[in-house]
Amino acid sequence: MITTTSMQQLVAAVLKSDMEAATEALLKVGVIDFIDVREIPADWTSRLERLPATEDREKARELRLRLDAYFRTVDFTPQVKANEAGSGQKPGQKNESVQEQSQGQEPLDLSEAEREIDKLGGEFRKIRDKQKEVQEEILRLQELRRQMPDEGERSTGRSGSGSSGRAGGPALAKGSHAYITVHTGVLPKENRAAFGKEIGKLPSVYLPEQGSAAAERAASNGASSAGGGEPIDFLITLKRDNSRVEGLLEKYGWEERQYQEGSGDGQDKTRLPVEELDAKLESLRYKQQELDEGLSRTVEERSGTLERLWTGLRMRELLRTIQGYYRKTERTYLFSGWLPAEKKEEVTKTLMKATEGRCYLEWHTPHKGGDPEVPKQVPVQMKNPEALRPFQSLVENYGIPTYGSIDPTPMVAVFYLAMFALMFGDVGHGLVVLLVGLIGDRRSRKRGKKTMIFPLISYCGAAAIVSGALFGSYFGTALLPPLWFDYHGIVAGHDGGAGSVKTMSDILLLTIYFGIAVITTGLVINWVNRIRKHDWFGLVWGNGGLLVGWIYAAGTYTAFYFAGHNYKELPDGPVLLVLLGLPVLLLAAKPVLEHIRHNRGVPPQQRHSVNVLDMIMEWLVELLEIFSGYLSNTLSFMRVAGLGIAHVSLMMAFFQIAEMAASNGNFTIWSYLILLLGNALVIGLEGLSAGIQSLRLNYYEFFSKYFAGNGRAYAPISLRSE
Amino acid sequence: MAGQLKTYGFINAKIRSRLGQLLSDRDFSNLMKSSSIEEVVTALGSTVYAKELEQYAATGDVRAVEFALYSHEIETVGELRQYLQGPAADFVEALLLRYEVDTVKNALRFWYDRNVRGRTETEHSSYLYHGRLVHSIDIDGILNATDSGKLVDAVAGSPYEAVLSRNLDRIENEHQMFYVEIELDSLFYTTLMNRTAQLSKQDRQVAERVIQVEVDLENIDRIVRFVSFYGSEKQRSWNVFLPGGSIGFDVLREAFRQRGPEEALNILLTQHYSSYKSFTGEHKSNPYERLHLVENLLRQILSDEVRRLLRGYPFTIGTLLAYVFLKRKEISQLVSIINAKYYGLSEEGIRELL
Repeated sequence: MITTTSMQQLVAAVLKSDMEAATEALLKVGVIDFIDVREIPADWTSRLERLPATEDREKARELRLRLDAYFRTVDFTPQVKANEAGSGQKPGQKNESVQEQSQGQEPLDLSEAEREIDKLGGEFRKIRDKQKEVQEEILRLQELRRQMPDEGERSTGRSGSGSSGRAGGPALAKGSHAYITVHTGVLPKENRAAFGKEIGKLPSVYLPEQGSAAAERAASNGASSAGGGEPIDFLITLKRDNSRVEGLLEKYGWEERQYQEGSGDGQDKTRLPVEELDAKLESLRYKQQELDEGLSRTVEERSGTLERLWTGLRMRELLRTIQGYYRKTERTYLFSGWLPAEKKEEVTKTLMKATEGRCYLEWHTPHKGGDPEVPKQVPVQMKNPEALRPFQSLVENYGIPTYGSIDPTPMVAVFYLAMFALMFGDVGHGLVVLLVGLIGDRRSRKRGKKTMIFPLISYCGAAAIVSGALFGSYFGTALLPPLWFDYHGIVAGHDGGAGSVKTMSDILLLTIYFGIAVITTGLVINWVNRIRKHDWFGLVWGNGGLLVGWIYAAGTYTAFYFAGHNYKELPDGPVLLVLLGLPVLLLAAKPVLEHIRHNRGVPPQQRHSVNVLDMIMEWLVELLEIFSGYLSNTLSFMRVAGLGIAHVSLMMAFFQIAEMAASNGNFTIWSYLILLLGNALVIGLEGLSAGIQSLRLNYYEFFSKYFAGNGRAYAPISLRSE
Repeated sequence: MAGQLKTYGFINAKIRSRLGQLLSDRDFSNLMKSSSIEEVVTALGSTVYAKELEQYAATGDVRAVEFALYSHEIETVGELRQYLQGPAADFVEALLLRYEVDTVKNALRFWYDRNVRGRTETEHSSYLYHGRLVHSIDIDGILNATDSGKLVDAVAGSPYEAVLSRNLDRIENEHQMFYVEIELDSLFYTTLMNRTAQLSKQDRQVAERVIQVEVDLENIDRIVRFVSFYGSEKQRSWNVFLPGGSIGFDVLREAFRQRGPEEALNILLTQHYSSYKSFTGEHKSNPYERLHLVENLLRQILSDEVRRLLRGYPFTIGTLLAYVFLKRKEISQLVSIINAKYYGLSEEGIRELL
């Protein structure tokens, strides 16, 4: 936890005949971050050949991705994939892993797999094509529907009459809806089917035998109808298709009939079948939806085969990925990789078992000045307890520490939460934030999309609860006395109490102390890292080295001395000379020493020349950077106080507004509303600010003292690999 | 300065965050590598186009997806208008005119195919944008017009009425849609330039530069097409040029009279785009390949101009223009990829297209 995980490098040789078994064993153990054997800086590695290009790895991957796409289309997850991810495991069911399921299976034939997936793709395409046909029909009907009035425009159509019996559409006054042609007539029954098919290719609604119901209504209402008793067909088309429609009507023997629901005004009215059309559209959309659901059934029907296929492809892909790192001789295969030192025994046992002892294993430990054949870039694993994972993700977001350096995660956890707590100290607000974090975490786990943000929010909430109790703040009020100092009281101008923090200046000073602690911790981490790397020059003269630390400590002492003497007096000359003068002078040696180190072992004619002025400039600029940089870094922590004060001030302001809305000194409903909104606003705004500023202070003021961030993350190939 | 800040402060912040949501070259590369349209659809499921891509699951029709993306583009530009006032809002409204002109042109083509050429089996007209963009146009009126009189009635009260009225004879009797389409395009660019003239000095300089480049590129594309594919002297007398570009009409006419596209391109690029002339050296014997090369060159010129806008002073119309251009380009590429995957084109085939 304090440092990155110790790694071991494995260089292994197995016989050709054992290669597949060894690869499977390595995949199963899943702890090796493979490197190309050629990365080992030794002469012999360059003479090794690579395995023949594993095109089938790419093919397996391509097929697996295709299958994944089809699965995602229908929201289907192969059970083995869910098992590997640790989600979707069903109780009572055999929750096999990829490897377990693949055991005993026939070796995968990629051509056969491709055929199977093509078949699935073909089924998908057929269904989509059917959907498209339905869509064509929908579009034709929609075009017609657009010309008809909507719900609000409908009238009862006939004066003095109630419902018209048939739940038909509105009356169509002559001349309106000019793009529509309504035909009423009769068609020989034997021609209806063929006519329906042909007319269906145009935007149209053909309703056979609608006239008989209309005739009954006409009869019951005492109106006359020329078509009384005779079944009347309705045909509604677009005027622009008239010529084609006329041709079809003539072809199939249509006889026009006048349909009139007499209303006494002499107008010829015909009802539009809007409801029928809407119902037809609805049923077509339903049909499309059913077809879409048919895709799920297609996959479920062959889920067993598809799952096995997916498993086989996944295994092939991973095995070939591993083998992509192998190098070969005539009879053996060589590979190399990094793994955590604690896994060494397990890997040794696994390989020995898989190859029945026919393998050669060589182990190397990376350390400074050690084995020259060990590649420089060792992968880094940060192994922190589950509770610290959210903070580990913050560190990883910035960069990966170099191998062997201090893992800053525990420090980040402490500092981040401390900063947040100082800026957002309120029990009530902290409780709300904690709840948001807990609920969000639970929901994201249920959805199978676990993130680190909600646990982080929960921690922040908890920290804010603690600091809220320390400052005596409960949703902006002092419900209970503070355990440390009265933040509200100090901001309001009252005495802070008996403690050491009584005034706003004390709060600011507190945050400066905090900043000094953070920066000093960063410097110490830097020194430890340099010692571990045996970088003695960097330890003393490097950025954040001992000399810089000395200057920082001296500067801090001097500043406090000055402030403590009413800004009138500095420490005595000899003291200043020792404290500040000496390290400054020693720093002047840096460019000289760098020059000497750089030219060590270099032939005289290739050495860089000495430029004294450059060295002096370098020294002066570095001094300027140290003094101004560390001063500004320290003062930067005053923002913690600033935000904390802003938090309190905002709550005070909302309380004052709530009091203004009070009646006779008692809070009204408006007062409580104001307080509710105010608290919500403060939690949202201040919470976000505090979170972001804490992150910034960690990343910039803390990490800049020691964090290089150029490490390579440990990425073993396992069944859980992406 | 304060005025520019006030005008563009908010919308700039919005646009800058949206620029971050645009798909990267890597995203497009991955899409092109997809082996099925299902892969493309699921890959885009976590982007801003998720809703539009759902159309494929709902209808099985790639055109529905295309139309949804087109509507998305229109709504994006329309939304930007509501955050502006005064001349800047009018300018954005003029940008919307592009889509209105496109819709009118498509509706006219539909009407022309059915009523003039007598084709009964035409693409249905459902995937046309019916919403109001700038003017109240009765698109259904155009589609369903039974004669030219009703056609003009459908666009009555809009600037298209005069354009149509002038060209009805050519459409009906000479069977020429070309002139009306040119005039409609000219109407768009003329309106755009007029609205540009009303902008503040700083905005005007920025907008004019981009519009001039776009018009130049349109004119260059037309000339190269004509010179490559239409040899007739009669056609060479046509007025195919759009107004508002930086290349003068005399240069355009001279280029138009050339025998070959290389000569034409040489003349066109000399004055304002000389740094791109080296591209014309690549000889392609196939006129389609040559045209493809030219179009890629033109896209490159416009992209460079847009990148310049994004590097410039942020509180001008430039950021908005750049975003609109990038959004159009993105959607155009997406549509190409989606169609290509639907029809089974390989990655290499798509790269050649794009």
